[in-house]
Amino acid sequence: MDKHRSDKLRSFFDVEELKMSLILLFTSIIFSVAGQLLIKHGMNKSGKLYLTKEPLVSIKKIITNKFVVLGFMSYGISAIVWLIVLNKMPLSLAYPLVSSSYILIAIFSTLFFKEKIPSLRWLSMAIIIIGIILLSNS
Amino acid sequence: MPHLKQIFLSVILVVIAELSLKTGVKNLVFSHVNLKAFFISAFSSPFVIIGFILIALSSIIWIATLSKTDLSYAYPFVSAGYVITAILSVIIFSEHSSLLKWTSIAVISCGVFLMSKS
Repeated sequence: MDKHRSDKLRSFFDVEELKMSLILLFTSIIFSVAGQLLIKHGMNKSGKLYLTKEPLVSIKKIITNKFVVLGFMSYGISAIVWLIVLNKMPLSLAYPLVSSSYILIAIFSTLFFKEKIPSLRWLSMAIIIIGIILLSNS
Repeated sequence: MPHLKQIFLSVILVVIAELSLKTGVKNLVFSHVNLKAFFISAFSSPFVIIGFILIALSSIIWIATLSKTDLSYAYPFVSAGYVITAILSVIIFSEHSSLLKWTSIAVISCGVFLMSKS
């Protein structure tokens, strides 16, 4: 195979590699977002906790809450996928891209928990998205 | 500035944790045919274990700090974490560095900072 062709082939595989890494990165992010939402849902349902007055009751309420447990499991999956991402991708690219989780969290919080999003937060999300798109192209 | 030390400690611990995780897995050979081998070597690396312990430690400090201070005050420091991590990974792992990369990270940091003010 001549050099030009093998270079072309290599860059094709690099692009495929990068696509695969980005898919894994977003899988890791989605599991961490799901974890956060599950924990929030669990804590919304658990009622008020008084950690200083009745610590044992509070901790028991937290660790027996099935949504909280599912949330932590989801975090676990996210962490495992993250290891593959770090193996394949530069850290200086992967870590800032985690900021896309703030956008997903905000969108799902309005959908599921009916939280209100002020306009400044929408603007911030737009700025983060611009940064993410720029970074993915760098 | 109240609780600044705690906030900064929490952010720095995550930065060190990510660098440690990266060190632990960067030389492993990943193949989707043999996932088990990848994870066995990953989890037998002390860098990976230390990384996860530091993340747990950082979360505890972060939650304890949030019980004493406003999220909107503490949160902008998270964006400092992105910048510090990126700078250190370029120095330590000689990762690719370009003007576009630093501009993008600055834009993301501005967005995270602004979000905390909303």
